[in-house]
Amino acid sequence: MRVLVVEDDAPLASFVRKGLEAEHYAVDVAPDGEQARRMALESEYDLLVLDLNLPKLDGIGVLSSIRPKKPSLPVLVLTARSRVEDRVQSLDSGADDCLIKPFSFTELSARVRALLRRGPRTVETVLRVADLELDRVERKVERAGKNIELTSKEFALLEYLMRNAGRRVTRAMIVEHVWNLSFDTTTNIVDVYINYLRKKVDGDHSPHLIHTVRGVGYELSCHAEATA
Amino acid sequence: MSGMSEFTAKEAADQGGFVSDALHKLSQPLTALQCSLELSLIRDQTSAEFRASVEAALENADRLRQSLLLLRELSDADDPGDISAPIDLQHLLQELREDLLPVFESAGGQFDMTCHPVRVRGNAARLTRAFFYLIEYVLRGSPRASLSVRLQPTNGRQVKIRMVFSDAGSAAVSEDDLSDPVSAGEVEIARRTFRAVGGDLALVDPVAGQSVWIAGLQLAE
Repeated sequence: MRVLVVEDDAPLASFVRKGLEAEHYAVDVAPDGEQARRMALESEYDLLVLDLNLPKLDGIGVLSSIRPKKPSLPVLVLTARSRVEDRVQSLDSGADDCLIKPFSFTELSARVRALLRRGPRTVETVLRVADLELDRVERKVERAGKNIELTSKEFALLEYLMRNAGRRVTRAMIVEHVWNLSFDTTTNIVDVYINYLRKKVDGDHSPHLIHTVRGVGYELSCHAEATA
Repeated sequence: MSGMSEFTAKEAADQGGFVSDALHKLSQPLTALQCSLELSLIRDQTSAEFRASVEAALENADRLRQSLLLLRELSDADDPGDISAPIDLQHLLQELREDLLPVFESAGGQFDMTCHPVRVRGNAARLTRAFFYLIEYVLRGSPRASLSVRLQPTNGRQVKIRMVFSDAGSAAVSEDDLSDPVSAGEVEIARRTFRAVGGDLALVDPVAGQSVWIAGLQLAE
């Protein structure tokens, strides 16, 4: 997997590069927006990690110029702005995910993995994992043919986990995407909701689909690994 | 006029004190981080000791990161955001209750709410965040608290939201507790968010086992 990291802060770019290389990605670094645009258009990358505040051409400018030509290239934006509006602007400009600085490498790595393992954008009406089905239009959930009643937030959480089936998602990713909050909540809201979902979705069923990934977050999949 | 200048002087003094407290709070984890890294280079350490000092450094770096994120949220809290559309307060509070009821219930508490339809001035995402922050702050000190939210009669221009957190085992929250910008940063963010749209947030009559907060919001015209 080949990743282009666009970051003008040399020490930070170096840390990100070393960290991703330790996880066996091939990493190139671009220190400004112009160079990033050129490299992204001339070479084949599997992922772009893009800082927004860049010299020569800012991150939104880079996104705008490469998105029409590389519609399926996953882009993870790094931003120092934490407002919901800033996140929305990045996503509207074509980013697939947005990570707020300062961040931990564990969080960056989880998001890189999630984006790289994601297939084409999900447009199906019905999401399926094993015998679990979620109908996004009818807003109905069934496991082994039996209806499961969920609140709207439980439904949104399950939909997010199913869209990312087989990938680890962190608590911060869940809070951002399901609750639309861009801060580290100190409440146990995610864990509480996951427990509710577990009781309703896994209950007595086998295999259990919702797994805890210690030190990271959660994963919905048929295969149990790194669970607690 | 003198009332206005007194108000401005108090605001400036508050801001100055706040920045000074914030710097102090940030300097603690940064100092601990720097010292732990320096020590790990100076001393010959076993691999277990080295691992322990790296873990300590990480913990301090995370405290620093959390504080910075909070302070940045604070710096954005005075911006009201898009307030062009009136907010359905009843709907906003119902959604908040639906989101957070499981958190209260999981700790043995309750979250009940009585609200009539009313439209207020503000930005739904920011107001939701402000309520979240206030609740986070109270739950950190009183994890088993119950919350009761009631709308008080309006005075024609403002609606008052009375929030009573009760937890028999908790100490009273005081205004002194709220002057710490990092440990009480959530309350300051909530206050500034309400003020940014012409409202306010106040802690009233603190007693042990209960804290009562009243948030005011302007009615939409």
